[in-house]
Amino acid sequence: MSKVLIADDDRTSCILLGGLLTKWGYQAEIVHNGDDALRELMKPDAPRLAILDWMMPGLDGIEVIKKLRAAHGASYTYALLLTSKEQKEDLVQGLDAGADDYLRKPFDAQELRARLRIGGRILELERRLVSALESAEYKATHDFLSGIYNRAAITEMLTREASRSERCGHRVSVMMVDVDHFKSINDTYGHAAGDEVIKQLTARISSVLRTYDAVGRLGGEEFLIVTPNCSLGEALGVAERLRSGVASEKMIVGEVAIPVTVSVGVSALSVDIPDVNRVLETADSALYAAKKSGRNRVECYVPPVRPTSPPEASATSVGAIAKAAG
Amino acid sequence: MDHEVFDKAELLSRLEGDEEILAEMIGIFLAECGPMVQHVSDAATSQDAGGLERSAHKLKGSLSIFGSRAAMQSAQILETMGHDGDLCSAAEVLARLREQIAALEKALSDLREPKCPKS
Repeated sequence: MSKVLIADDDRTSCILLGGLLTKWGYQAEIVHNGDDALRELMKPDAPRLAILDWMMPGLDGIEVIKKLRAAHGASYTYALLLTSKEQKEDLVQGLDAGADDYLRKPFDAQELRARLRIGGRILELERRLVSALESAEYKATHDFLSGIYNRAAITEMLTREASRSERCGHRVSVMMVDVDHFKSINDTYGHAAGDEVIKQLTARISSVLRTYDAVGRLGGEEFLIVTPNCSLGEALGVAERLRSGVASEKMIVGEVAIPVTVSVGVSALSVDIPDVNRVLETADSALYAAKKSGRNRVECYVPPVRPTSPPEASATSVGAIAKAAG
Repeated sequence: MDHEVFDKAELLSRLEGDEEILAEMIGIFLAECGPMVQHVSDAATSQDAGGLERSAHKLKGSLSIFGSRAAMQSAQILETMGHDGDLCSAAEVLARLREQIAALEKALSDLREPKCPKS
């Protein structure tokens, strides 16, 4: 049942409107001044249709509409202005303020009903448009198979984290994850099973991440994980948990248990790796190293020690962890 | 019934013939009408032009529902006086408005409590 807000300080008019709307199957909510109208319309589950009297105590109908439009709420409110003003200039002012329609008092019930139907049609169009936009935005940023971010979205997220890191100084690590011998999984068990492996791997990756980490599918069997506020050492720990977790439990696809392993290349933004392109390149070369060293491994890119400054403690410990992980 | 006072047929046609809503509206109007006229009167007496414009406008809105053309016209004149800040003859128009509203109240009350038909 559609809710309609009626705002009018004239109680006789409210009885008339409320009675008719109820008879027509609407749920009428009645307030008697503009301030209450605005408060009700700003609520999350507010009526999307509003009949507002122009002249009311407190905020008048025009001011309510202006404030409502300025607030840019998540949902559109179809506002029908009720007025006994008769000058054309007044009506133009009302419509320019953001009213969708107006009705002169005393109004005819059939005309009001038809105008409410117009409001309903506009709101339905708006709902479908928003839904289509949301769906298009989702499709543009998400991988259709795994449901996680696609390449463009996860790279964009990394770019945002990199600029935040520049401002706030916190560390950002990245992990590039690749399924070992994925082609042979597809060849042996079929492409549907390969797709299922991607889905199950997505779930396993998500299970080792914190809520503010992000993962995206770069394409094929390759994933990128972005972990803000996470040092290279900590990222290596996460990568190793992921690698061992995947290797220790076969993936059940239909009737078969498929052994799956992953290789992971880890890198982090730092003085030596200052930008997104470089951190992706270094994570990729670490992943290549993991593949070359036999797969089912975690490798990280350790920046070369600069001769002009003493080696950083974190770089040394990271190197040790990388070796242990391999 | 004087259609200048109250046009029941016209109102009912605008209400899709709903006598129940009509009865409820009459009840509310009869309860609210006195205070509304009092606001208009207070504003006129205290030479409050803005108050007169607002209160007369509100009363005009209520009267318009019942199609009381003569009373609406008087309320409109008072509203305009308030708008223009010229309240010289407000008392005179107000007296006329009181009479017109009294006639409307009587018509609406009669409608609510119809007289027993003569046997």
